[in-house]
Amino acid sequence: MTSLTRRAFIKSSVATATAATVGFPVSQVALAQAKKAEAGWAWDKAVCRFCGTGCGIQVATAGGKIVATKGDPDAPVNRGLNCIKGYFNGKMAYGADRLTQPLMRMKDGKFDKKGDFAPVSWKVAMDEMEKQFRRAYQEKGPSGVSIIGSGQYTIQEGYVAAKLMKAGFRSNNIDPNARHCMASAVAAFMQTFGVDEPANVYDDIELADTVVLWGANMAEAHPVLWSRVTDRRLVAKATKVVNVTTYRNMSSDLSDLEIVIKPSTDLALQNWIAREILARGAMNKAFVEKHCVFATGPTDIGYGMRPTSKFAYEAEKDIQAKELVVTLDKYEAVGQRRKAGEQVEQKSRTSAGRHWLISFEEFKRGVEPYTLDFVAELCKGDVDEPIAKFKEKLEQLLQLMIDPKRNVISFWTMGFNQHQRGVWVNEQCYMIHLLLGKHATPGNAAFSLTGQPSACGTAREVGTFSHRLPADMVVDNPKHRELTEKTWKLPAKTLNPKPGSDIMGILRDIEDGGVKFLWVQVTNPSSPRPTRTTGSRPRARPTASSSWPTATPRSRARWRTWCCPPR
Amino acid sequence: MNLSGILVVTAPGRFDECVAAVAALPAVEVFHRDPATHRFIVVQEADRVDGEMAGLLRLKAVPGVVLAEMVYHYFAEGEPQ
Repeated sequence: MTSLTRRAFIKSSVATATAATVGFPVSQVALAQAKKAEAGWAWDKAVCRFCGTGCGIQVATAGGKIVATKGDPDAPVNRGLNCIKGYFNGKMAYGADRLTQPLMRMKDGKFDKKGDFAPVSWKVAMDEMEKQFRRAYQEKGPSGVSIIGSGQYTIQEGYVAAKLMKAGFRSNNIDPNARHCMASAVAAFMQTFGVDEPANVYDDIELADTVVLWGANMAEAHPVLWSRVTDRRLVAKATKVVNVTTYRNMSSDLSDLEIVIKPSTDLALQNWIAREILARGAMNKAFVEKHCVFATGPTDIGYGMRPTSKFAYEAEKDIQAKELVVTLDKYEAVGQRRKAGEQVEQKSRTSAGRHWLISFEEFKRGVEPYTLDFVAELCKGDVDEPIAKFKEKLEQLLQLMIDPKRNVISFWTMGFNQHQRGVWVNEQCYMIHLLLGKHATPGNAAFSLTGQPSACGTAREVGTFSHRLPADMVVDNPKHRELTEKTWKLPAKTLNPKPGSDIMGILRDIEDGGVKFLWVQVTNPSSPRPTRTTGSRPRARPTASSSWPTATPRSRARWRTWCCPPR
Repeated sequence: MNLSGILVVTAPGRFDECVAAVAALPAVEVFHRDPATHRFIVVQEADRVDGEMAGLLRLKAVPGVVLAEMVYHYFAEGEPQ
């Protein structure tokens, strides 16, 4: 077979295998030809670890190397499809810059924080880590050492890391990047439902009549799930998709309605929807009376910043200036029943989760100021769009949500979760769905999509959060500590009862000198944080475990060693 | 040789237009077609990873295409890049 003929043969086989994987009707002859091209290959199942969707893949090996990958047609989530991340699962193992041995900053043959990375043996790297760990532990004790972990850990990796820190070193200074990703979603789950997980399943997509994207560009960020939304939209003619977004993006291509809003004005938009649900008699009274109570909480909660300007960069100062006192603008004044220009001390900065029950009448009064005129003026994000057109779109959105004959799914990700008021905006989406009685039933969901493959498994269940123990237990509960001490065969009353620093706390601690040793595992904290400032002035000795040369070890922080555990 | 088996989904009423536009792209070949579900399968060839990614973005940018996602990745021959 000439190379040209062989190339045509393989292309045809790839096309047939692709078609069969996603459920196209394919002839037996074509399938037999595709199998010929794969002669000598062994196909095995695997899981993609790049996001929280949970896609199944299949990996082909021949001669000890990966030669092909494809989506697993039997996987219930992706049904054979891959996104660009899953697509590269095989090839990434062979990248020229993949790390295969430890790198350590060296000068004149010795470790030096100001030196350049040089390859060293595992023994040299581990010996240096041990030396630096002992120095920090002897000086500061359990609070002076730390691990920043990951929602990309496997369950087993996370369990070992948590046990090493909590049982081995009696330190709770371990916290995963999942704190960044989902902390606000978790707080909203706990405050609203008392349980920290979504209530729906992906199969609800095939039952939805209205799909609302809230600051979530699913077409690019969750393409596999988007393919299911696409299928639903194209097959069920009555299904409508609404993209509530701060900018036009690829998800708008399929959407029936694109609503461009100003950043952070979604809270006001949600309040308007709640107001109209009540005003138009659209509340599912029986559902609400049976399952719901009304509650509220403080608004003077600050922004989680340090009140000092000691470490602030220019990009942080506008928010930091509001940490202690907020001067209300005309819109905030309406929401808080105060006067524009009034200065409000942020008294609830350390008790932001406090909340209390209110009556239905109080709730109704709370959303009353959010009229269409007020909200449209506040929210409209496209300066060129006429206000009348924007109002018309809001009305269409409302109708698509409140129509009792329509099943409604709201999807969101970091557009809500990494919001200035992430807990509130999550809770308010639940508010809308609960008022309508459209939650946790087939085709109806306020659905927080996650971004990491094992944030639930490693962060929550095996205890890599600074306040957690395995099996969803917590360090400040004496009974939980007692049970864990028995399980781990530890002397009684030796587990540390005080929650450790969370991920931002650890980064601040290394700036302040409170933490002297940091081990970064399976994550890259120098890259994703908004300003990449915190943690870049460490007085600690950080170590990063990574398979790839990421920004964390290369940053100004002068991370010490850079290891790649073989996988 | 890097070959990508890709599923393309088009907006209703734009199937033929999209197939023609995609077929005209270099290093892309259209194979299976299913107009009833607005889907077709293409195989894209690229020398390097950046070419594979750029090719996918180029497919997604074709007017009328609402979804284009990789399904199958073949890189059995030649040194992977």
